[in-house]
Amino acid sequence: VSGDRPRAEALAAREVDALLAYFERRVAVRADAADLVGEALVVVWRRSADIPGDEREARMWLFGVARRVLATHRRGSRRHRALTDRLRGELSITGDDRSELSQRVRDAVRALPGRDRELVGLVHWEGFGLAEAAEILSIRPGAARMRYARARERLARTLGVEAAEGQSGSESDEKVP
Amino acid sequence: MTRTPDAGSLDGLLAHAGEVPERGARVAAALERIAATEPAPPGRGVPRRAVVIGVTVAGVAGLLTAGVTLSTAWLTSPPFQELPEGWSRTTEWAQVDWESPDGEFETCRIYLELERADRDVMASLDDALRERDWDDFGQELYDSLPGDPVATSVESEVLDLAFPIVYELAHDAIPGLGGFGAAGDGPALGAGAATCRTDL
Repeated sequence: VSGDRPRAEALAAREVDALLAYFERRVAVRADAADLVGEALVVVWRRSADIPGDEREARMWLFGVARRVLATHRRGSRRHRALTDRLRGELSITGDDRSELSQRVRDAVRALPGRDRELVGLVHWEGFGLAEAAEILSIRPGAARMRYARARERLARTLGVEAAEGQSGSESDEKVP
Repeated sequence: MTRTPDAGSLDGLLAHAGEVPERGARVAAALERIAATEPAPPGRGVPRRAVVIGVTVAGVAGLLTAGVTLSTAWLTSPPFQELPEGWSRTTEWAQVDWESPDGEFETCRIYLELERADRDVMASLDDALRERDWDDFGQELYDSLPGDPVATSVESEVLDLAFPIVYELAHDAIPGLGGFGAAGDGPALGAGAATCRTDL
């Protein structure tokens, strides 16, 4: 048995763009996102037998993989593959046009405690519901709601805006925004 | 209903900060190429890897996979749901420990599960597992990995190397032990199950 290669290929084709965006939002050097995409897909191929059949669950599974790849990157470990050379080159050329405000917001998010930071990102940037984000992070929905609310308050304080909103996840699977 | 957040609100700021630069055609083409390219398994032959995965799927219905990714304490949550009828699991294990260059320590235990094994067979296998010196076993496997192992897959990579060695030990300890899924009346290997922890 060699896993479920067609499922892995379909998942990769469907989500590779979102995967790149996930890493671009979280790394300081945009070109590094190329290697991380490659690394995440290697894990997907290696563990293709584990990919859930349901598309939504497969996506959640994929971002669980991405999160661990990112954590490894943050610990300073990395693997460069020829596979991602071209993408790395393109990302280097196109550069990063993040505005100063966007960068400030990202810095504020980056300063949050690890799981709070990931909750905010998964909900606001990857479009997961709070309950789904909680599952990806292996935390209980109640704890996720508490962390999310706390993270919003902290972000609001840092950025000088109101934390209040109508979508803070009192419903466990609510999409934000 | 989805609504667009006010640009000056926290939601608006987060949404704006989450935008990524527009993809050029060349980025899109590179992405497409990556998504369509399956890398070769790093450094090892397909047959051995296929055996390990085959055991995972056919033998223990995902149990090994769950074990490999576990980070919870194995004493409270052993790999180790119920065994299929007629199977037995060793009480001893192969110890697989290694430390990464950045000082992260990881420790795994590999247990073996046999079909149609009586008490004497299991006792012999436990003896073999207990008597083998596992010091440095995992570290040597880790050090033999090509390149810079990535923590997300390093468990799998080390265990891919470790399982066949532990299986070999079982065959040495139990003359006539059948291979995976072997038919007949005698004992046969059913599965290997691993559980790992980090930073003990």
